[in-house]
Amino acid sequence: MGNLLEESKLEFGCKPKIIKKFLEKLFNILESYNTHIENLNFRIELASREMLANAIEHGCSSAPKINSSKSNFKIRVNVKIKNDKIILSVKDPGKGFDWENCNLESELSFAEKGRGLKMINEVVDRLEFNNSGNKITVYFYSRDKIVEK
Amino acid sequence: MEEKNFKFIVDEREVPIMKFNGEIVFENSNELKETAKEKIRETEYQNLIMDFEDVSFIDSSGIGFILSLFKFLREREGGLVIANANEKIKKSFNITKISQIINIFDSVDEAYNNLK
Repeated sequence: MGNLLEESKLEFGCKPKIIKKFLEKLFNILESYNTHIENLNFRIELASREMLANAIEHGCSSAPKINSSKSNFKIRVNVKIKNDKIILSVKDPGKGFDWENCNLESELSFAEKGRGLKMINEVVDRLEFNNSGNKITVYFYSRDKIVEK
Repeated sequence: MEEKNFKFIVDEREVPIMKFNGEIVFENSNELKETAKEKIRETEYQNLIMDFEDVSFIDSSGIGFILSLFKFLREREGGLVIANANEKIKKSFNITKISQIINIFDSVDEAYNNLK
């Protein structure tokens, strides 16, 4: 299970500029810890960018507009630092997608779109969705105990 | 946009170079794609070197941007190659297997030699 060292619950609007804002917060949090996760900075930046881009591009655009303008939609991000792993989740306001029938294996393709989830799958240790598919959670496992600096 | 995110350079070797800077990501890749294509449309060049010396990161939208230019030049019966990608970018190329489609070189000179 691992002991919880820190948890940050963040909320963002549906704008592309939130990606940079989140990454600054994330790396600020990570700076306080000695992790033992290979290539963590590259892997967590790529996963975060793709998760948030999907939330903005697909989640926010598919959100039901009942008594609500798009500007009220929120993306909820949760960062958990445990002593054996880092867990990152992104929940968007959309209706989700059929993740059970989604091919996550990287393959050679000339298509300009459709690589986001495959790239996430390549850089995380574990990936899961909630039932409806509007929340994605990824895990990065540490080979040794994560401790505060 | 163009001056901020890339320079279009043509020297005596007659293969244009697009030298990008910053990140090529979700936030800017669509706009970058349109301005880059517009720039190429103004010319009759068939080949292109994308110089990534000053690019720090690329995501799946950036990969889509590269493939868009690649297909655009292929319609002209030309091609594109990439030079000076950093390790993070090379990792993204490997993950997505686009290094099997597009040649990646360690320098612009090597890229020129390949396109000769």
